[in-house]
Amino acid sequence: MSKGKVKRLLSLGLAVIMTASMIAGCGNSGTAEAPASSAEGTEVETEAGTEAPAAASGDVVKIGSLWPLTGGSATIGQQHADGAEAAIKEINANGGIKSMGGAQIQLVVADTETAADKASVACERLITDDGVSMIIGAYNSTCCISSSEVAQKYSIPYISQGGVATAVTDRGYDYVYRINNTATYDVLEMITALDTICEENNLDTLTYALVYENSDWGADNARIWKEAADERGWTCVLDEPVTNGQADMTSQVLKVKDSGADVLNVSFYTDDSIVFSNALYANQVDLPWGVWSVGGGWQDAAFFEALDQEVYNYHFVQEDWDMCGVQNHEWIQEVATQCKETYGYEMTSFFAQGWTVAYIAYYALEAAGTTDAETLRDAIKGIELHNDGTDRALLSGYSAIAFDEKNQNTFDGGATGGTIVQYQDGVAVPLYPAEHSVEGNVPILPIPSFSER
Amino acid sequence: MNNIFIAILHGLILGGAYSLIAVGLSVIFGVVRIINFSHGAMLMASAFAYYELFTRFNVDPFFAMFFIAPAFFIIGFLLQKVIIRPLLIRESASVLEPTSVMLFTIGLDYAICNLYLMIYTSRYKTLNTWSYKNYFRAFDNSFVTQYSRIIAFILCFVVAFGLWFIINKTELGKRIRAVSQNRDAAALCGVDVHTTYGIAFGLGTAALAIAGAAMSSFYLVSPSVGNVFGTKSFMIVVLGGLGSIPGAIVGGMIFGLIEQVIAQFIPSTMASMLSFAVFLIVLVLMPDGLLGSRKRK
Repeated sequence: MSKGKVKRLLSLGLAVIMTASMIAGCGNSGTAEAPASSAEGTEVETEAGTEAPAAASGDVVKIGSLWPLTGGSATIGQQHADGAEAAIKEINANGGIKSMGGAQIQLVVADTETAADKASVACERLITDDGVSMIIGAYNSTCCISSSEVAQKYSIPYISQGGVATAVTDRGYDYVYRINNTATYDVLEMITALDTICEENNLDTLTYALVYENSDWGADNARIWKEAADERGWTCVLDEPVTNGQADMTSQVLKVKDSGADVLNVSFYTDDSIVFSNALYANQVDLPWGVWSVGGGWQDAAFFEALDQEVYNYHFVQEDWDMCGVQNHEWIQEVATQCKETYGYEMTSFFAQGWTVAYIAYYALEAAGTTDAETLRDAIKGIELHNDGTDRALLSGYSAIAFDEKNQNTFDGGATGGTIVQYQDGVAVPLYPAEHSVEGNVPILPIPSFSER
Repeated sequence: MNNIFIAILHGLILGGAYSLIAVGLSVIFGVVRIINFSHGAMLMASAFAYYELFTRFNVDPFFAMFFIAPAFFIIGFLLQKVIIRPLLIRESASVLEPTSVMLFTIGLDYAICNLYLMIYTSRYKTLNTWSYKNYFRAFDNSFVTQYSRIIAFILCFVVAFGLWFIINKTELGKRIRAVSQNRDAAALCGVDVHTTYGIAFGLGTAALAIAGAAMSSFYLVSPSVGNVFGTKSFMIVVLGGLGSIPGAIVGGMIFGLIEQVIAQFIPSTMASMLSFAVFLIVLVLMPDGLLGSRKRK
C-alpha cells in the first residue's frame, strides 16, 4: 500500500473515531431505563438507544430526565440521574404503572451542559424528538427556568427538582411544578440555626460576608440571607458575587479575611467550591461562627474526595434531606446500600432527590392512568403525600408533598427535609433542626482559630 | 502585610500559570498560522495522562512531564503530518488562511472532550500530590500559595525561554522562522515546510503538556477543565500578540493581575468583565496585540 493511501486511511480512521466519540459522548438523549417487558408480557426492545414504542401505545411511557451531566454541575447532575434511574428500576420491577396495564417507564436522559440555553434546547428535543410525556429536572435554577419555559410552551408537565430560585414557580405556569424547597427555605434554615447559636452563646449581633456564584441560585440565596440578616440587625461586611469557573479564588478569600466577618455564607457548585475551600484553608481565614454553605458543591461526594478533611472541617452545610433517615429507617439503609453497590458512592441528597422526583412522576402517571398532558398536569396537582417514614417516594425526607396555587410544594407546613450539619473530624454531624439531629450532637463553636488547631 | 502587595504576588503567580498554558498556542499560531481550538481539550488530555500515572504508579506530574511532554510532541507532530497537512495543501491553492483546519480543530476539541467524558465521566478529580497539598508561605504567612503554583510560575519562564531559544538560536529555529515568514519562499529555498510545521505543532503541544503537569497539580481534572483555560488562552495570546512568546507571558500576567489586584477594589464579576474590556480595547487600538506589532516593525 502506498504511503499516501496509508495516510488517507489513517485520516479516515481518525475522522470516524472523532465522529463516533462525539455522537456517543454528547449524550443528548440516551435511554437510561430499558424495560424488559410490560406487565402483559409484551416484549419491548431493551437496548439503550433503541426506539421504544410511543407512550400512547400503553406499553412504555417515556419520561425526560434532564440534568447537568457535563459542565460545572456535572457530578451533581449525574447523582440526580442515578437516583431517578434507581427509582424507575424499582417501579418497573414492581409492575410498572398499574393503572396503565403495567406500562413500563422509560427514562430518556438528556444533558443541560449546566447552561440555560443548552437546557432549553435539550428539553425541546426531549419533547419533539423523543416524545416524552413528562419531564423531570434540571437541578440548576437557570436551567430549570429556561427548560420549563419550553415545557410550558409545549404544554408538557414539568416537575422541577433542584432549582431553588423563586422564579421557577413564580411565573404563573400551570404545567410547571416544584417539589424541592425554594431558596427561602434553604437560607432560613441556616438563619434559624444561627438564631439558636446566638441565643446559646449570648451573641447580640453578627457580622457576615457573602460570597456566591453570580447566578439565579447564588444571587437569590444572598438576597434572602441579607433580608433575614437585616431583620436581625446583623451587619454585612462583604457582598461578593463571583463568576463561575474560577481558576483561583485567592482574591475573594483575601477580601473575606480583610472583612473580619464572624460568619461567611457561600453558594458555589462543585468546581468553584473546591477551589474556594482550598484558598480559604490555605490563607487561614478565621471565621469564629463558621462557614455556612447553602449546599451545592458542599453536598457533592466529589468535593469530599478532592479535599483533605482539614480543609472542610467545621464547615456548616445545609443538606437538602433528612440526614438521619439512613439511621432511622431500614428501607432507606437498603437504598443507600444499593446506591453504593451500583453507583460506587455513599448516597447523597442529590441521589435521594433524583429518586423522589422520579417517584412523584410515577405517582402522577398512576393517578392519571394516561399520558394525556392535561390529565397528567392535574394529576400532579392532586398529589398529596405525608411522610410517615414508609413512603418510598419520600426518600429525601420531605415532610409532605402538597402543591400551592403556584405549584410549589408547601411541605404542608412541615419540615422541608433539610438538615444543617457541621463537619467534625471529616464526618457530617446533623445538628439542626432538632428533629433531624441525634442526641448528643453538639456544634463545635466558636471555631478554633488556625493558630489553635 | 498590605493586601494589595499580596494580591499583586498572587496575580503574578496566576498570570504565570495562564502564560504557561497559552505559550504553546502562541507558538503554533506564530508558525503554522493555525488557531488551535482544541488547545483546551489537549490540555485536559495531558492532565488525564498525569492523573493516570499518579493514581496508578504514584508518579508526580512534575516528574512525569519528562515522558508526557515528548509523547505529546509526537502526537502534535503526527496530528499535523497526518491530518492537518492534507487540509493545508488542499486549501493553500485557494485561500491564505486555513479555514478548514480551524474548523477541524473545533471538531477535534468536541471529539476529545466527549471521548474523555465517556471514559472518565464528569466526576472531578484532584491529584493530591506533595505540591498540591503543601503551601509556600512568605511575609509572615500573609502570602500563601500551593507549591504547584510556584512551580507553574517558574516553568512558565523556563518553557518560554526554551521555545525562544529553539526558535531564535538554532538551525531548526531558522527553518521555523523562515516558514512562518513565507512558507512558499522557504519551500523554494529547500525547507521541508510541512515537516517544519509538524515540529512547530509538536513543540506547541509539548509545551501544553508541560502546562498540563502544572494545571493538574493546582486545579481539578475533569473533561470540562479545558473550558476554564481554553478561552482565556486565546484571549491572552491575542492580547500579547499572536505568535509572540513574550506576548503570551505579558498577556497572561495582565490577566492574572486584573483578576487578583483589581478584584480587591471592585466585585470579582466586574474584574472578570474588566479583563474582557482590556482585551477588546487592545484589540481595537493594537490589532496585532501588545507585542505583536512591535515585532513586525
